[in-house]
Amino acid sequence: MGIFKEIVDELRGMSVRQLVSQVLSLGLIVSSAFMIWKCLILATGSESPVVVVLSGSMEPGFYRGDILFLYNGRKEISTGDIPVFNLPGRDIPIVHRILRLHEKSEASFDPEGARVDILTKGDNNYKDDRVLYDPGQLWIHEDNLLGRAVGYLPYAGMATIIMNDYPAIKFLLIGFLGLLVVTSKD
Amino acid sequence: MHSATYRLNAVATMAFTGLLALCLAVSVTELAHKANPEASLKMHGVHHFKPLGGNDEAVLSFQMKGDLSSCFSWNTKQLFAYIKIVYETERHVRNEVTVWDKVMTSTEEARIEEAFLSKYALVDNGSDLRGRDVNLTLAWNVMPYIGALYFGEKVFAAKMPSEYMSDGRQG
Repeated sequence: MGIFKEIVDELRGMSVRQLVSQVLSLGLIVSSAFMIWKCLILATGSESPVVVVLSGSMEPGFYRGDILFLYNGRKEISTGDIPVFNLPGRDIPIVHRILRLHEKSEASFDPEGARVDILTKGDNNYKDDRVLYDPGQLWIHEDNLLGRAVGYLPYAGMATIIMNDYPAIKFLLIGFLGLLVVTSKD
Repeated sequence: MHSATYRLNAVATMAFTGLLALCLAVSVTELAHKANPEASLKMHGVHHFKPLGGNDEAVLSFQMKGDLSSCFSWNTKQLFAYIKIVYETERHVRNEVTVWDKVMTSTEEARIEEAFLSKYALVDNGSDLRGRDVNLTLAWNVMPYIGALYFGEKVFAAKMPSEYMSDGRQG
């Protein structure tokens, strides 16, 4: 508890000017994190450039809690790629591998419909993903994709999973880090 | 100045920076890794070839002699090897259908010399497979312990039978 006492003492001893400057520096940290995130989105073309693996369906390649870096660039998507995709009406994105892909020709392309039909499957799953899609849905399409996995960092997303499972830990951690920044001297 | 928080912060920052540099260094070593995978693959047989619900379906078998073990570096967790049939039809400019895959976690598993049946049927999105020239592509995804994922492939030619058949007999 020594740390907390130190922090409280330090806060008490601050002038208004000091306090404002510390709050501003906290704001700077938050906004630079936000800027880095937005720059990553611009550079990768993916609206969610870093994702945490939430299921074991790609084991032993990816485990729950591992981090994937996504890219959503110009190179066309191909069978064997590992895209992250969203199914309409569901919050949690899925990381699976493309099993089949059919790109329609000019002649059969319906301007209202999708150009590329994609079927996915988890490496560790016995069956393809039609059981996960909405009933009657046979394919997903390019607009479902958030990007393809191009980089891998193990375990690093475990903190996110723990914080999602126990929200109290999240608030404690954020509060504690915030206090630490506010009271730290340059 | 020399408070507990400062020491804790300094140690944590140092550990984190060191870990990050190490991770980066390990993933960069992959650039120096040269692989020379060898493989030959050919269609061994067509065991079933029929339309089902408007879509052509075929069960194939393959003869493969391959050694992908040189793709393993010290940072390679596994290879995901797969065979895809790539072809073009009037209705679709690009069809890529996976018919076989295997997770290879050791160099021993990356050496294959055998004939085997397709794991998934070759299913067309339509009925345009008869007499079709197709590319038989053996591809592999190198999956690391840490760092970038990358792909390699070798392409072989094959041709689908011009008539539907079952159990190797035309009809």
